[in-house]
Amino acid sequence: MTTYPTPLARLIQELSKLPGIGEKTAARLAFHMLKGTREDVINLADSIAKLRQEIGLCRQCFGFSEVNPQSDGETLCTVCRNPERAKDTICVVEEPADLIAVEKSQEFKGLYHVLQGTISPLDGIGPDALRIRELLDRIRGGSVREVIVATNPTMDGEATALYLSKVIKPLGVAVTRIARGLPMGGDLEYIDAVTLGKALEGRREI
Amino acid sequence: MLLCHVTPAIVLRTWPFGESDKIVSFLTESHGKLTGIAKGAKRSRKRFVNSLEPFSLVNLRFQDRAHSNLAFIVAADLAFGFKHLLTSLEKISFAAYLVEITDGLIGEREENRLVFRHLKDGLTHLDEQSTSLTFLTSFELKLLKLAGYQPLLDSCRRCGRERWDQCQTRWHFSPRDGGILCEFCSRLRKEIFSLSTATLEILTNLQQEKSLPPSDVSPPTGVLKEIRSVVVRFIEFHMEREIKSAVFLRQFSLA
Repeated sequence: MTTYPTPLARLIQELSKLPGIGEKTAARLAFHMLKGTREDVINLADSIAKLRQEIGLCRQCFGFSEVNPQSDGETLCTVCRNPERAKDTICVVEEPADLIAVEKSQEFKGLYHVLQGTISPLDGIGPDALRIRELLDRIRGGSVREVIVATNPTMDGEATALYLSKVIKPLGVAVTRIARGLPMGGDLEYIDAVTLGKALEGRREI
Repeated sequence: MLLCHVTPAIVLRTWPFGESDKIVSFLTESHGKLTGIAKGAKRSRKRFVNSLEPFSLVNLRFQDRAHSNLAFIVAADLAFGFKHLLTSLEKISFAAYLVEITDGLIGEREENRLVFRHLKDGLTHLDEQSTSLTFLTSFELKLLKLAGYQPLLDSCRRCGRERWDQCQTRWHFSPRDGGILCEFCSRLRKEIFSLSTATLEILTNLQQEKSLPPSDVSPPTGVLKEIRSVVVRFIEFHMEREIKSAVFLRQFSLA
């Protein structure tokens, strides 16, 4: 068995806890840090140490937000703070990473709401375990006219979308679901039957 | 080179594993319940696209691995997606329940083609028709029978007294004993469910029905709920845990 000096072994052990990183990759990263300048390593360590202190959840949408030390850690994210975003449309996503994916599309100009998970009958995760109550409070207290449900097209994602539709529609707000279809640059011959079926179902006039 | 097995299979559960892999549990037609690793399943656009969602009927290709209980999933082609199951919360709850109890009552690699066909028929029924308590109860009872746990309802499980004995007016169901107990023997058990004569009669009839849902039996809702409280507890006894999806079934449907 390879014996690394204790500080190096400790770093390799910590790095290999990260997703997608095995012991070999962790060792490679650790050696890279050893070869780097002292300043680079301190910057990296500082960024990691500050991550949990300076990043929190937005008190409105529950996406990632920079924590303001003057506001007891509760703050609004850049999207919720932006006065140019449309306040009447909320896009509901499962996780903060999904918010970033939708934001990258540059097609959506409204606000978000991150559920922090999905309803999952097989895992026993019910609506109470998600940020659904907070979403309903936002809808009741604001000028929301449409909620776009952008949960994943999985069994859990569909269950969540159906539940949201059930509880939001009685509030007089339109509930829409993101469309499913063919990817840009795709080839019909290689598209699976379910996606193709959904694409045909959701066809529109040109 | 490792032998590649090919079999129809229904996806029971999936768990994310690492960056892009999935652990998937299937009920196969020819190899019983099987759990395997689908490498790159989260990103695959060819081998696993749209096929590894619970309730999907797939043509599964897998290889056994020498030093692991997990099979290597080579590919899973979607044979039937039961797409109507995902159109209502009620249907999702019912389907999740069917899948969970089947998963819980069947052991790994116990070949049981009848159970596979039963689950496939159950999901097909849900996909094509509306949900009902009668369907659910008859599914549960038939599954218990096919899995080898059929409740015994003709005589007391402890003293052997026949149910048809007119002196006996009240019977109790005991999950631990796997059937009914007479009034006297039931005193020895803590967890028992009292059953009226009419309920016991209907339970017996439902258990004997072969079609899914039964064509001739349409019991009142109250009786069905009484039967289901007993059957659900009996299933949980054999699964040795609570049925998670039962909560959803109660919340999103009449069950």
